[in-house]
Amino acid sequence: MRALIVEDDPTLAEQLSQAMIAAGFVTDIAHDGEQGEFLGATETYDVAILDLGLPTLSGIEVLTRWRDQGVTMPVLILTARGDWTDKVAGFRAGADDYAVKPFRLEEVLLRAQALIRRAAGHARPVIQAGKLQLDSQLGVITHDGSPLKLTAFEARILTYLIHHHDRIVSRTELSEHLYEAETDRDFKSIEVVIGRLRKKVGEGVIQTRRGEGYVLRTAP
Amino acid sequence: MIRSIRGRLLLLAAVWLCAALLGAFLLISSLLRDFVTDRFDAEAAAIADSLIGQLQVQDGAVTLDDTPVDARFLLPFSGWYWQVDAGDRLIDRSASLLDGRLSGPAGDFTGGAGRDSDGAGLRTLRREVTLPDSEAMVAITVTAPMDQIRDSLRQIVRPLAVALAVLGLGLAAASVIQVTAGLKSLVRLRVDLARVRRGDSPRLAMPDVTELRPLAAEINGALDQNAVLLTRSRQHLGNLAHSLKTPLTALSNDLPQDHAGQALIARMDRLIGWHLRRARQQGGRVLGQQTPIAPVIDDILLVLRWPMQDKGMTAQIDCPPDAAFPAERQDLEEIVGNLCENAVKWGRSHLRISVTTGATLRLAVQDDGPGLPPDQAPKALARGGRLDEQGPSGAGLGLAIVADLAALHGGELLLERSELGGLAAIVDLPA
Repeated sequence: MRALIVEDDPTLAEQLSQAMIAAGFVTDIAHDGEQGEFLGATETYDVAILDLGLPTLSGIEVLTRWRDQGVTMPVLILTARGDWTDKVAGFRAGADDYAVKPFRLEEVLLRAQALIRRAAGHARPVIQAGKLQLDSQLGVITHDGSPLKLTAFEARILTYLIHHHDRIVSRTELSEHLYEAETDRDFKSIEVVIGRLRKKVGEGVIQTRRGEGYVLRTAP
Repeated sequence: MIRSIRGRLLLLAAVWLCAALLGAFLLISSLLRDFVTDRFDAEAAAIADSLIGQLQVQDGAVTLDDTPVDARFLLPFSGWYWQVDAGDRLIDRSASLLDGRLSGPAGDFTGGAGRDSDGAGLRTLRREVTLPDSEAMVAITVTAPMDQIRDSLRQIVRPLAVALAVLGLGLAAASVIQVTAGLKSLVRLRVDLARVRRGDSPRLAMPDVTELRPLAAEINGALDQNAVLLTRSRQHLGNLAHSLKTPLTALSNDLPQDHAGQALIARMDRLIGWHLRRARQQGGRVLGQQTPIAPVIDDILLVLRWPMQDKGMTAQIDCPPDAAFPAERQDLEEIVGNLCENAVKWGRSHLRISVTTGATLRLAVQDDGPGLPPDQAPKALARGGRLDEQGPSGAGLGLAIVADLAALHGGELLLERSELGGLAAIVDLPA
C-alpha cells in the first residue's frame, strides 16, 4: 500500500512515515502544498495524510484541486485547530476522516487503514478472501488460521490483492501501489514475488491472466 | 439645552413663527391704522372744504352762507365738531359743540392730540384760508372722535389677528410634519442598524436621502473593517495553533506513551485550546450574519458519517428549510458539531436533531444513550471553566464549549432527559 504524507513539519512527517513503513506501507513525503498537490495528482496512492496548515498552498486548496482533477484516493486530514469549521471545510473539500493534533501515530495509522479498507468496499477491519484473512488494523495475514511468514514486499502485494480480491489487477496498477515515487518500477521482480507467494498461499489462488494481470480467486 | 434634533428644530420653528407672525401683525395693523385715520382725515377735509365753499364776505365781514347738514354734527358732544373763526372772532360752529369752543394750534394742522370737554380724544383738522375779498384770515377746524377711529380700526384688526393665529397654527402643524418626515430617514437608518445587529442583514442599505449616505457608508466601512480584522485575527489564531500543536504532536510521539512528559503535553494542548477558545469568544463577533441551519446539519453529519456508520446509528433531522442562526456559520458549526458528536458517542442506534423557530430559536439534539443524571448536568457544563487546569482533554469538553457559545449569543444550553431515553441537549437562542 502506498501512502502520501503532506506535512510541513519535517519531524512529524518523518515520524508518520516511519510508523506507516513499519505497518507495511511505502510512503512519499511532501513538505509543502504545491509539492503535495503535484504528487497526489500524478502518482497513485492508497491513502493520503494531509495537513491543513501548509505553506505555499493550504491543505483545503490541495484537496479541492485533487478532487477537481478526479483523484479519488481516501484522504485523512490533520487539523491543529480541532474546531468544527476546520473539519467541515475539510469534508466539504472531499476529506474522508480527520485527526486533531496532537495525535498518537497509532491513531492516524488505524484511521488510514480503515480508510483504505472502506475505499475497497470492506465494512469490517478483517477481510476474508477464501482461506486467506487480512486483519487490516494489525496488518496480519493468515492462511487457514495460521499466520503467513512474508517479506515486506510480499506482504504489500498480497495485502493489495486481498483488498481487491476476485478482480483483475494489472501489473501496472500493482506496481503503482508498491513503489515510492522515485523508484524504477520493475515488473520482473513482481513476477518473481508472485511466484513465491503462490507457494505460500497454495496453487490456483493467485492466477495470471496473460496480457491483463493477476486475480486472487476466493472460490475455485 | 434640548437634546433631540426634533425638539431643537421645533423650538427654532416656533421662535421663528412667533417672531414672523408678531412682526406681520404689527406692520399690517400699523398700515391699517394709517389707512383708517386717513379716511377720517379725508372726511374731515371734505367737510372743511364744503365749509370753505359756504364762506361769504359781506361788507368786509365774513359770514357762513349755509351749514352742512350732517346728523353727527348736530348731536351734542358727539365728538364730530366744526368751527369757523376769523381771528379771535367766532363766525359759526356746529350744533354739537353747543357753546363750547375749539381752540387748536395756529396754522394748518392735522393730528390726534385734541381733547373733548370730557377728555375723550379728538382727531383735529385745521385749515386757514384768506378769502379774496377780505383781508381777514379764516380758520376752519373740524374734529372727529378718536373713539370711532379706534372702533373702526378694532373691527378690522380683530379678524386680522384671528387670521394670523390660524395661519400660525397651520404653519406650526406643517413644521411638525416637516420635521417628522425629515427625521424619518434617521429612524429608518436606526431600524436598519438594529437589523444588522440582529444579523438580518450584513450591511446597511444605502438611504435614499443624500445627506445620510456618507453616514451609512462610514458605518458600512466600519462593519467591513471589523469583519476583516476579526477574520485576520482568527487566521493568526489558527496559525498559532498549527505552529504550536505540530511540534507538540512530534514531541508526544517521540516520547513513550507512559512517559511523565505526556501529561505535560496533554496539559499544554488543553492550555492552547482553552486560550484559543477564550480569544475566539472574547474577540467579538462579525455583525450582520445569518446562517441557514439545515446545510450546517448536513455538513456535520457528513463529518460524522463514518463514526455513525460504524455504530449503525441513524439520524432523524427535523429542521424547517428557512430556519436561520443569527450569527456566523462557524459558531453554529461548533454548536451542532459538538452536540452531534456527543450524541454519536453516547447514543446506541438513533439520534434526533430538531430545530424549532419562533420567539426563541431552539436547537435540540437527542440520543438514545444512557443520558445524564440530573446532578451531573452542572458538572458537565462547568468543565469548560476549569479546563486550563485540571479538566479532561478532548471529548469531555464539547458540552462546555456549546454552553459558552450559547451564552455568547444570549442564549443557554439545557440538558434534559430525551424522549428517546438518553440525553436531550437543547440550545435556546433569542431569534
